[in-house]
Amino acid sequence: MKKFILLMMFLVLGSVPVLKAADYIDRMGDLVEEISLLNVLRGIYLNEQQAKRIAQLAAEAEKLRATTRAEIEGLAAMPHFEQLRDELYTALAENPPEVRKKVVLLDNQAHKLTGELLDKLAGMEEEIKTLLSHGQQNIFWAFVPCIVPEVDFENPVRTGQAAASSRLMPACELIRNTSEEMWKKHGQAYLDHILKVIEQDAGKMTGDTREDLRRRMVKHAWKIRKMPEADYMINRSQLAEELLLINREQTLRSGFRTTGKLARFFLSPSAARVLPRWVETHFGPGAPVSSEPVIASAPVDLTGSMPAVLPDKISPAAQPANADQSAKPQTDSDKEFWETLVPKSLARLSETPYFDHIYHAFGKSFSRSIFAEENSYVDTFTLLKEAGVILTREREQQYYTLTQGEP
Amino acid sequence: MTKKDFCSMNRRKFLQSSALMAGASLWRGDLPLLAADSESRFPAESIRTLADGRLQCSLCPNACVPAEGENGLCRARGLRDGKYVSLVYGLPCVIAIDPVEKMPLFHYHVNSPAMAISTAGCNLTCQYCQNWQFSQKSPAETTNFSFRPEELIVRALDFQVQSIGFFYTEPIIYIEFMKDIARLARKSNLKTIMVTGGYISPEPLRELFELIDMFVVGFKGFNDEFYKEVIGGGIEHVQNTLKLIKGSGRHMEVVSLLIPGKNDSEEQLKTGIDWFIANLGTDVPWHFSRFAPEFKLKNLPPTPNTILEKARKMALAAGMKFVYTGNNPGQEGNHTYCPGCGKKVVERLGFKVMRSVLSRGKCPDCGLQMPGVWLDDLPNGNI
Repeated sequence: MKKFILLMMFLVLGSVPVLKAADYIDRMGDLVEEISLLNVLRGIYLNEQQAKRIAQLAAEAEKLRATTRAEIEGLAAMPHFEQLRDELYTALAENPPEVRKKVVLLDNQAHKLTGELLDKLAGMEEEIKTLLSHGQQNIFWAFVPCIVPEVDFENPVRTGQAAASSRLMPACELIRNTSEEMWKKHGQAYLDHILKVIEQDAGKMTGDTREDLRRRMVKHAWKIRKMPEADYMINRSQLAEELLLINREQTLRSGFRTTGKLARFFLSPSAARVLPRWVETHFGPGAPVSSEPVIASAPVDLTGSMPAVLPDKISPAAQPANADQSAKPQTDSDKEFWETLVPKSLARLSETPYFDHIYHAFGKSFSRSIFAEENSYVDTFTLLKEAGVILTREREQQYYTLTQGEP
Repeated sequence: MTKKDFCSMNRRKFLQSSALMAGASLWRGDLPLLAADSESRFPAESIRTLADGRLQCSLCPNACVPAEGENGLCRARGLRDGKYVSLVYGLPCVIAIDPVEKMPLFHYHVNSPAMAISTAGCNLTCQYCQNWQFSQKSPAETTNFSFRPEELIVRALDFQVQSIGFFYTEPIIYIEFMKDIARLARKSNLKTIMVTGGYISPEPLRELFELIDMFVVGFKGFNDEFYKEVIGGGIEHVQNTLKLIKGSGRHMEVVSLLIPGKNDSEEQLKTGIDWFIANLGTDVPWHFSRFAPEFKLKNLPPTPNTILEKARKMALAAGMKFVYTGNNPGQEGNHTYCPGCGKKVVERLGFKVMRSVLSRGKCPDCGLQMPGVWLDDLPNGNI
């Protein structure tokens, strides 16, 4: 009896932290999803009717999931699965466990139930598609799950505003304005850093491809630095956009009729949590006239001596992983370049969550699928080909409107 | 060279003659040399001498009478060596290729970027100005580019744009520069667009009707209190400008930025809409834009989308035919609908035209002609 009590205590005490850790990681993942969804909502301007209906659909999706979950539980498949697992430790290949057939059958039933659920969710997704305007859908397709959205997504260039719109404008400005001496010292390392950002999105490149892109980047940077001032002023938006050779709008889906990006955001459990509060905040009876609270009533008193360009916030993720190795020991200006100027130059890019990495570390697979309108997988070859087309200027001139993630 | 010769010349010839013109003017020495980052001393127009001998600028209702060495309120004109001069002639501080939708100009040849320019200074002091970095500065405080009018035209032709926009700040403050560019633009088959706050005296405005093809006027608020408090001007002059442009027959679009708590109340909107319809009619396109905290009004929240939609619905209900919402991409109010049959004839996302079914401004279904300037006969035609 004593041994049994001790064993129980050991199990209870031992299991509590494990459960807590698992809960904690799951909760973090949920919060990242909610943050990402809120970022979409802040850039897509749903009207009351849209927001209410989508919230309703998200709640219905949750109910459907609960029903299906109960149905799958009703199959009472777990003992069979466990039996198969246990028998596989010792079963001979020529004499496989008898229970395997039963498990396959149960798995098929569960798959069928899940497929039916997905089918219903896909139908609801169709409805969301019809609810959203074409423009909203365009904004949505360009959106990537993120903790910090691209500056231009949250705050696009407005009517009458002289500012250039590109999220890469600070990077372009850094390339242009860095002194010759500093550029010789750090320029290549900076361009390599941008290449790393590209690789984060596109996947690892082969050595040859990376070298090819590297050459193109050097050429492009040279063009940015040497262009006459007036030409640069006129062309700067395009020059900036051509810096990051990424087209995120390519992806995939498979299976039964499965759900896509709209469902991933608007029919998710996160949506069922977030949307009712969003609706209440913005369209409820006590909703303020504005979406944001008024901070103060008096106009801000600005002096004429304010800097022409206000400093952007600095993104910690933009810190260089390997600062220029040839520049040691670093001087104050080197430090300023890497610790202040470089992060600032890339601060307008979005901060995509690292949560999938965290999930991997904890032994869970977490899909970070990014869907495009065509719902096809990212095709790295096409992406790089596209990049080549941009850099060789074979593509027609595109003035500001939409960069990825920019409404 | 006859006028006909000039209009039919190819680009090479144009460049050659421009270079000759520039060279000749330098040789003659009667034009001031322009240098970036400094002031120009170009003789100012619309100057009158007061009874006491002082010089007064009559371009806008500010009617500045600066002392020697001082600038007018716009900071772009001032008294130097006893002469009233333009300090910004040939010194734009912004040059960009921008979509006309950014001005916002929707009833114009779609998918048509314009070369947009601006100089330092402005005759208004809008508390929410999003270009305050140069609109509230003198040319001595900004980085400027030295560009003669003919050089700008050459650039515009080089970029194959179809129009030149005087944009970002109040163009009337550099009227001399604007007129010279507009004259050359006309000869080069380029359209001109003036984006203005409308705080202009009638006389100089009338002179512009000959040279400017399209006007976008900021009708920034709907009562005088708002203009006095937030804009630094008076509504009466702006209303007068709107009426004069309407009367001139030039294409005009109007833009109103709705600011929470300042000019977005139902009562103010109703006042604005009533005045608009009574004086400008129902055909003039009107854009309600979303405010974003800027400059001295960073303490205010952005305009809720619902307010923009409400304003649009009120204007449509009152009989207006073309009412848009702006700075809120992805919304129904961004598109153009045919008032005859309700068909969506131009679909936009932000400043980008996604789809247009107009043909020379006509609805393909009911054939209704939309007001505007449509250039389908030019390259880069309707998409």
